[in-house]
Amino acid sequence: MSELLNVSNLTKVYRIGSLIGGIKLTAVENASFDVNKGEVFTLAGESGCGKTTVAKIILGFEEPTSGEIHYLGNRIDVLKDKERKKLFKHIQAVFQNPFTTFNPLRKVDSYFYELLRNFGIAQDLSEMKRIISETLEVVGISYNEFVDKYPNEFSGGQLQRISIARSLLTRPELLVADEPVSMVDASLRMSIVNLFGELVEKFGISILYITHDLMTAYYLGGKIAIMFRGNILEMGSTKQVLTEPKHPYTKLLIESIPQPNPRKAWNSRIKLSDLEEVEYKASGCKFAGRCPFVMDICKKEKPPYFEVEGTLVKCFLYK
Amino acid sequence: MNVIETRNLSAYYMLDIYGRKVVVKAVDNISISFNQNEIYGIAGESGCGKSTLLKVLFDLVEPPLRIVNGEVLYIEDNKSVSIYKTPLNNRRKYKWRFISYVPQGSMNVLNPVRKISQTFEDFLKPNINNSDPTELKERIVKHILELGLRKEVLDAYPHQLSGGMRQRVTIALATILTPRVIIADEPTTALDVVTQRGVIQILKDIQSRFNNTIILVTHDMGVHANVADRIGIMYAGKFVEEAKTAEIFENPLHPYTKFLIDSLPQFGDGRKRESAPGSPPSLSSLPEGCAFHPRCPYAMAKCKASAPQFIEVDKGHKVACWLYSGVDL
Repeated sequence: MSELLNVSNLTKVYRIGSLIGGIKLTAVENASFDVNKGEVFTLAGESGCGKTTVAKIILGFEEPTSGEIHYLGNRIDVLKDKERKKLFKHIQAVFQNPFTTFNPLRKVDSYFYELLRNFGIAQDLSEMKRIISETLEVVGISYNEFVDKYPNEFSGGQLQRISIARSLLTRPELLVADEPVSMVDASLRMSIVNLFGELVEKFGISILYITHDLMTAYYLGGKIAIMFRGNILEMGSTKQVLTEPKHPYTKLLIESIPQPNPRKAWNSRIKLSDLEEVEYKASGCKFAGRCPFVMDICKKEKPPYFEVEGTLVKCFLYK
Repeated sequence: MNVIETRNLSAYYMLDIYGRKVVVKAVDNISISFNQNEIYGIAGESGCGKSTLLKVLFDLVEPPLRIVNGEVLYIEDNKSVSIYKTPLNNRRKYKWRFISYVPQGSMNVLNPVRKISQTFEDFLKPNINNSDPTELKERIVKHILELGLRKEVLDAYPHQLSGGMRQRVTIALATILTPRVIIADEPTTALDVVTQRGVIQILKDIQSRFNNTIILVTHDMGVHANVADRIGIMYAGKFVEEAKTAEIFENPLHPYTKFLIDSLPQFGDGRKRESAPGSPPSLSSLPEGCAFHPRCPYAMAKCKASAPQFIEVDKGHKVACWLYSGVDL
């Protein structure tokens, strides 16, 4: 498998508050990972862990404070607007809420025609129609039920499929999907997840899947990085990380997923989280305040990555 | 013993859209009862009427929502009161003392310019007779500590707290008068799993301490599996199935429930999961007969013609499906 996207030492610092006396918040700290061709790479973690910030930087909506992003060997985080637009032919995004993806006053198909025209993909109307209906077929929507309609005429599940179809129009190699199923009805959620699986299998598309839902991440497979307060704490193959978690945080996270099985109900209690600000500012390991195995060194120094059975773990326990 | 009962309850939104009358049947002929000392989970996807049912239970009916038929009974000390037949000024005493409500997105209900302690005082003063300031303070602090929150929270403004912390504060607010029934509408939806677990831990603690009833609405079947004693499944304004939690997960009867449970991926099980075909119906134009029949793989001619009754097929296991009700009702 060859490397498609390479993120190295990505850091993003936000200033909060006024120009004078504001505080600095490190949303992403030294994140490095690779997304290979034809693979699902999951970025998982709780809200506010910095996973969406990573997506925004890859898509060019935010500038990194430091670090580099390479796409097929070319650096992309320094691109000018014009070149970045060309890049969108290769990298496309799927957003969380399909109802805010599309303007409610615009017909949905106008986005498709506009996109094809902007990238010069099709020359005339009949070719455009052919490409659109081919793409819609991939996501399981027929052209006739799609054409000439406003976003509110579709259900959430349908609209999310359409949103995925829109992103596939340019035949991208990488989809950046930020919580693509969290707003979809429970009874339709798995059909969208299955669709992502198909895109990888049949078309060899890579997906950067950003989610807090570890169950669907497990279902999709590939590789996973667990983020916490801006740091990647554990990274490796999804099956391995989720079934044999190494980092105490990953363990807590997996244990906290409510299993849809009454026989596996929780029987232990957890320590409630501290104030967010305190955790972001912690100078050592960010999880030290809640970690059941905390040692003195954890509060003073940042742990480096240790390799354990093919998985990278940022924890002194594995020293 | 029951604490709340509904009898043939129907509540519709009566809308008038540019002269066109639209009736949204959000709660449609529901007869259900909630027991004392249990956590009752209501599951169903968005737009199935579960939030409306809660509003009706809590006596929060405002136009365009209207009670069309049926009644809601509050049962306290073996006396039952039909709340919508009670004069308005007598209804107030039930709110927060008998029944309490944690609304959806309730981490955003706190007043941003009042400290948490002030919000507690504002809430308590009209609700208790004796409002000696020091006693009030003590009561608030005691309650906060009991729920595992720190005392410093009281001196914070809402924006200084994280979402999970704010959610715990609103749960503390809703429970400080020790109500018999607590309605929680999607209390953990916007929270991540670890925080969610903390919030659920608090709800469970409250229930075991006061032996009261919690009606928990969420679409997350995993949460239900962990906390609920009984589960009711709603679809298109009606209950389609109700049973003990283990029974629902191990022996679901209604085809919709089967889809809901079978579609959930689990660790260590890589089987392919399918979701129900089609999409949920709009409550303003429901299909004839059973509302699930256009999506149901077992649909028969009868399903298209008339809606099945919600009947008990096994002890404590009710279902509304023609597959299980052999007799015509």
